[in-house]
Amino acid sequence: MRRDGYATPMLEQVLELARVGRARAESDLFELISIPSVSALPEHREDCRRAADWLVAKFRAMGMEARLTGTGSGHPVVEAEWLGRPGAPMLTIYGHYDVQPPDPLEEWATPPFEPSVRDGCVYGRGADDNKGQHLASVIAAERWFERGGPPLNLRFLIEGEEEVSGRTLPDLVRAEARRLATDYLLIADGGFVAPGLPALLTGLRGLLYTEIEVSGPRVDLHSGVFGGVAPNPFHSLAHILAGLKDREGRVRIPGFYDDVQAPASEELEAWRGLPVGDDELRAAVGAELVGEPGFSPTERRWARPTLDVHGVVGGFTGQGAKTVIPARAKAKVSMRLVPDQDPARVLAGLRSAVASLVTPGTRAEVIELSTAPPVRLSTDHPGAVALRRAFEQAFGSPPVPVREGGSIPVTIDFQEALDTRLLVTGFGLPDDGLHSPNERMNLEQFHRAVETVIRFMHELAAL
Amino acid sequence: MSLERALDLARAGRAAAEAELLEELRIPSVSTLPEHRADVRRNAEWLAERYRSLGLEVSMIDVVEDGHPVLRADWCGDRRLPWLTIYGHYDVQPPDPLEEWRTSPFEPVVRDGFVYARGSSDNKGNHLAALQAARYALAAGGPPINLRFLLEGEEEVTGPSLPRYVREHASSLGTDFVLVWDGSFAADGRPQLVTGLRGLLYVEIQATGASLDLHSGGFGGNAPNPLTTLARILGELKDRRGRVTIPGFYDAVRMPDEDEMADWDRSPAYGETLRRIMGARALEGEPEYSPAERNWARPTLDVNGFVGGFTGEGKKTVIPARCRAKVSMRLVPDQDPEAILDTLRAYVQELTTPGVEVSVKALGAARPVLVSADHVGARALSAAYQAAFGQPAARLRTGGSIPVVLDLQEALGAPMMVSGLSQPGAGAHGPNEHLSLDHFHRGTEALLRLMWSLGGRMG
Repeated sequence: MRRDGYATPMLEQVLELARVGRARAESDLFELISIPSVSALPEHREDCRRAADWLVAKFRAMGMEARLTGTGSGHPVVEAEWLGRPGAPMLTIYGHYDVQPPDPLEEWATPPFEPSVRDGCVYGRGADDNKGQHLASVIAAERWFERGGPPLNLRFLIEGEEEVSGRTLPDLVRAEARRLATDYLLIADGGFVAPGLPALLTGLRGLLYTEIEVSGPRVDLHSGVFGGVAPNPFHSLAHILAGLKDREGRVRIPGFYDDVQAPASEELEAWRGLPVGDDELRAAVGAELVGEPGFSPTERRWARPTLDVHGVVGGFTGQGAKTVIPARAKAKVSMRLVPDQDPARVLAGLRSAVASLVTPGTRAEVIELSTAPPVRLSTDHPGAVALRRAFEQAFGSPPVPVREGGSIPVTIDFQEALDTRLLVTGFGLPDDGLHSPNERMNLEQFHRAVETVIRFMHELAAL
Repeated sequence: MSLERALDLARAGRAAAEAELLEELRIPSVSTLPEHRADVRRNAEWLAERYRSLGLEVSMIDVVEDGHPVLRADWCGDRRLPWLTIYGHYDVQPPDPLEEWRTSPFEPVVRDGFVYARGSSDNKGNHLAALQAARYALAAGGPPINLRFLLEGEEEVTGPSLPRYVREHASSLGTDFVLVWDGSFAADGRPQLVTGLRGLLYVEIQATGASLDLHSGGFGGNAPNPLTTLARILGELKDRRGRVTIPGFYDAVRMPDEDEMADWDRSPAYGETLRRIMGARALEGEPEYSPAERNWARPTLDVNGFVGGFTGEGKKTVIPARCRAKVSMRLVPDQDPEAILDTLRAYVQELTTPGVEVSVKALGAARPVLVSADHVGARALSAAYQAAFGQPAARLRTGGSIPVVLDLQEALGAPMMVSGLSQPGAGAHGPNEHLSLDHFHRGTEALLRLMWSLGGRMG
């Protein structure tokens, strides 16, 4: 039942355009994936810029004003704007064109930046995170512009530093909050709870990412000549890493859990009703699930803080044997944080824990690489209603209230600076392999995502 | 047959000897890295050619498939003379971390009387001094002793070739003395005779968690993390005080008697010397033993390398599917590497956490060995040192391992001297390895004196 006799046929026309334009949309997606915009690696700096330029050209071609901002030492933000519907709401859509490094390369079935289609999915680094997701919104806008423009005012903010927690977009949002004012802000950088079951976020975990560097002797030493007296930085690092978490998975940093708030009872109830259980999670992990005792895997994933070691390196790591006591060793360690943990307080706790765990003769330094506070999101506003309808029509199911275990650092900046209604959702599937080899995007999912955003724009304008 | 003539020739030949040393140091004979396989053989051929040109009977023997050749060079001046067998190895450790070398590891540079290059002290400077000594002895009419050189290319990888060759050809290798010429001085100006060498058990521990790398946001809190687990295991293999926790690890340890430790500096001052050489803030290790005892007579466990997950610049929030660490144990009499490997395997299974599978792969093993220094050969070498360096040799153990020592001892049964000419703090296995050229030349002289002394005594 439609309230506006004119808009409904228009919506149908736009949806029809999307249906016949699927091949075009896919070729756009493949083009974007083939740009290796790895923001963490300096050698891909130009590629990040190429991805940004590609988007600018795309927006301009569809009739939006587009430009790059913040082109200093970081990666630029792609800003696109169209204010053709005075009086209608303003919708801002966020995305990021940068991707994770593709390593380990040898585990990819096809090269990460040569998109390849198998079994209805396109494989490539960034296929899900986040190129497939933000491009779905870009294509949705493009289809509206092919019929005179969307029914509301529209802005895109697509950054190139999400994977490195860069400050370019957060700084821009905070510096130009007035210019960037918006009624709704859509972030599609997450995923479905299960195939056919979309999600609308009520919270995101924060992230504190550090590097722990341990130094021992001044130079690498022969372990025969000096073994037994040389302070081995690995010995120290192993004690530190082992001491930060107990065997059961509880984090041992002093005060770590003090500010953790339990989820609301409605959330817990919704989570209990989810059709995805431990089995699905176990299948995705491919190993036994382990974690903090006393909490369900879902709680551990969304509502409990964690600590993980992401990388360790030092000493001799080639083939064969080398009997060396290395001068230094380092590990990358991050903590996922939940409301109301304060990253600064956790960092201070980490530093004191490391200082007490370091073994004699070695020195450990904790370097903060990035910080994103945890976020709570309200889903009690008209934008959420519009999005629920759009999902229901495109995928046959309204989104369930869930949280996200990952972090989207800019969310907190949007929330604080723009004071807007945030809608955080996603179009990927749980087994898309984000950050892993053979990352992929299901193409049917991609096209329905385009449809969802087309419908969302319509619903939002009609409210 | 004049020692004085040979010594004069050695003094006159110093520049040529240095040039030859630099030439050998340019060959990157890293035995552990497959990409240097051809270089290792090239080094063996380079040495073979030199021994041949001196008139020695040279054979290069490929004992095992995919191994590095054993080089044997014999000079028999007179069947009635005693034999001196000199051991060395022409393979070297990998040079990494490359960025810490002031100059390139395989482009030797001489600064302030030291030559800097991988292998300069361990072992090219040592065996090349022996080659020089043979050259001058022969040029002076031949030494009063028969000479045999046994050089291997698998010392740094604890390879099977020379041990097998020695055991299978013991009858053709009959000798009166064995000089294992691979070591360094005990302190500035103080040569040493090694009375014991630690053994070695070198393993790689692999840990596997999820079937693929995972995003720590989506899966953190549920996914088993092999890095965290492996770090935990490594942390638990040794307690904070440096005591190895593998069950029964110390059971078979037999400490040296007071007589053997007569020359040992068991004072804290020796620990301070070590601390300075290492550039460390403090020493690690069992506090109830002196640094000298910990260094030579106590077993140890060290992590030699650890890698897994994202190790590039910046950050990546990945929970890796697998990781691995290289761990080695130095063993002392009467520890048995095989028994310890079995216990380690079981212990690691006990230490792993749910969801993480661990496996232990043995990369090399060598039993610890004791060497008597109470015989004619040892006294002759000490006297040769006294003449060449002004000090007799101290009887000490060494913390390192020379796996073939045990094979030479058991197969040949001859009195053995384990010693070497490198200055202390030569940086063997580390960056900027270097050798004192003064030691190189005086070491050559000491070897000439040893040949004449042993020959004179028995000839």
